[in-house]
Amino acid sequence: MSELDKQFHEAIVNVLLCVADDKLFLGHRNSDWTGIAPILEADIAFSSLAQDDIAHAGAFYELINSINGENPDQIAFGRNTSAYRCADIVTKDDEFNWANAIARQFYCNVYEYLRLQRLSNCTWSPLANLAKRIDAEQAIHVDHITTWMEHLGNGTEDSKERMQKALDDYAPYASMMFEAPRGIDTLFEGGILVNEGCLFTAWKDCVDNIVDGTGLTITVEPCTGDGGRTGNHDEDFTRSLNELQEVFNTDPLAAW
Amino acid sequence: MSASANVEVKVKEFSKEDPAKLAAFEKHVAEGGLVEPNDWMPEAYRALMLRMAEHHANSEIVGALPEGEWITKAPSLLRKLALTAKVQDEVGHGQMLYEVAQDLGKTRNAMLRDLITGVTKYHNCFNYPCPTWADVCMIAWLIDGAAILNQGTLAHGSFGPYIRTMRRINMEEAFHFKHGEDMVLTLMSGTENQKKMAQEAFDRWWGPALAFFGPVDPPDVMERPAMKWRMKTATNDELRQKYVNRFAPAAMATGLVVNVCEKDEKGFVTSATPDPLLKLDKETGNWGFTQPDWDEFFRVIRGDGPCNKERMALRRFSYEQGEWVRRAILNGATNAPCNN
Ligand SMILES: [Fe+2]
Ligand SMILES: [Fe+2]
Repeated sequence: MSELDKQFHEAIVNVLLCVADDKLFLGHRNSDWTGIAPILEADIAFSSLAQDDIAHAGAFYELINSINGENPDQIAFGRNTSAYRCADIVTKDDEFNWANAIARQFYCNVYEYLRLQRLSNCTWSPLANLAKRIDAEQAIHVDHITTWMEHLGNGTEDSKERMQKALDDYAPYASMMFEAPRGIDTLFEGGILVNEGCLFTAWKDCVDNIVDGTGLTITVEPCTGDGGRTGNHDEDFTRSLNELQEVFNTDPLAAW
Repeated sequence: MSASANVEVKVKEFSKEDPAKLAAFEKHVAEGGLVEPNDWMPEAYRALMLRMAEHHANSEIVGALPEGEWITKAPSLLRKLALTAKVQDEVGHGQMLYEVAQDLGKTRNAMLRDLITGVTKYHNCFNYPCPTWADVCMIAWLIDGAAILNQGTLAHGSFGPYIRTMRRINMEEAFHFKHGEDMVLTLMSGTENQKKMAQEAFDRWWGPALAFFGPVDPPDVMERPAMKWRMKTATNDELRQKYVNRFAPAAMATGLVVNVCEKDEKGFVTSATPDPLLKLDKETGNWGFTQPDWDEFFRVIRGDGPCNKERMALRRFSYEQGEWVRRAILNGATNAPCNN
């Protein structure tokens, strides 16, 4: 099915924004490490992942454009705070602490891999195709971050402690990735998306499996309450958004 | 961004070398021959080549900082991606050049430490401020443009590993330049406000771009080791003239005015007047130009520039916050040559 019934437009755009905004802001935050990461080789690799995420976000904004005709840059740069749909873990300030960046990346990358896998089974083929293509690259992100978890978990006592602290600090934010996007039930009921059961459980199995043998533990709880997916963002998000929009907002209609 | 390796080349000691070996080496080099790491070379050649590669690597790494600060503010998806990729390339250039230097006998960790403790230097132009998006555009256009010109000649030098690295780097610098040119053209065909931003940034960067090639040539430049041993294949003044010939008309074609500027100690322009010497000499094909402020240049090189402290503080922060990671990855071997 390549034509999507109009009644699903709003809900599907909302789901696409959840993916695109997560990717945009995770890439945005991670790209800030370019030039100052702990090891030159790691710097280059981490920057590539950030660029992938920003490019993936762009592909999802394009898909939104194919539904509602809005310009991808305007969607990415031109909204008010409450119109963004990312979970705030992606913009949580890492304070240029590499353990924080790795913890954030770990939680988000595994989540994204599973989410895209599910979106690949979408009955609307443009989304299924895009999700399939990007999920293949997402698998590489998961491999990369798995290596970091192993190295830092099994590195020194110090590195293990730092990683554990970062994983714990980011745990409440990780929960909020699982906040359901508005309208997703409509898409399940309409047969657009396939309900494959609890995403959190699948994710928890997966992250536990990865850290098994590293001495690290994951204490993330299921999601409760409202967060970024429904437009309720925290201060770190607002700071990131202000930075993202700083130049753009000096003249939103100008070409840059 | 990138840099010429205008390291000081005062060498007294090479007269100690075996005269026959030295003569053969000089003949080989003069005939266009390449020097490889395991070949015999004068100690002074090794020392200078190491210093040149190290200085160049430092410049790539520090050069990533001013533009890096604008990645999170880039105003479109395309610009954000291009700028991140560019800064990443510069880090990659640093990594490749540290490897060249490392093969000449100094570990990467030692080089990174010498950089943050001020023992070694990096290119002077990175000590100037980058206060607006237009500065990011000008750096990619004017400074990467200068780097391409300079590195194009360095790619014909005598040290094999260095020139091969230059060739790889120059392909990427060409992209940086294109990206810079496109950004400048976009601003100059944009709103009045964008044009004003562009002119102000151009005024800040024209001087550092001219100074990029290093001080005015001394009278005996051709006799000094850098030229004599073909570590460099063009002099500072030759490169500067070529640069003006290319960039002054290009700037004017976009609507920019080439000004002579006075600046305050923060690197901000306090007065700008059109360069009175900017005329094409039809006979030589050369454009006249006012020399950059050399007093300022030497003051900034000595460490008293607008952003020296800021750049080094960020570099030091990066080195220090990464220490525990390197220790974990290398199992405590923080002095291991390859991964620091
Ligand atoms: Fe460059
Ligand atoms: Fe470079």
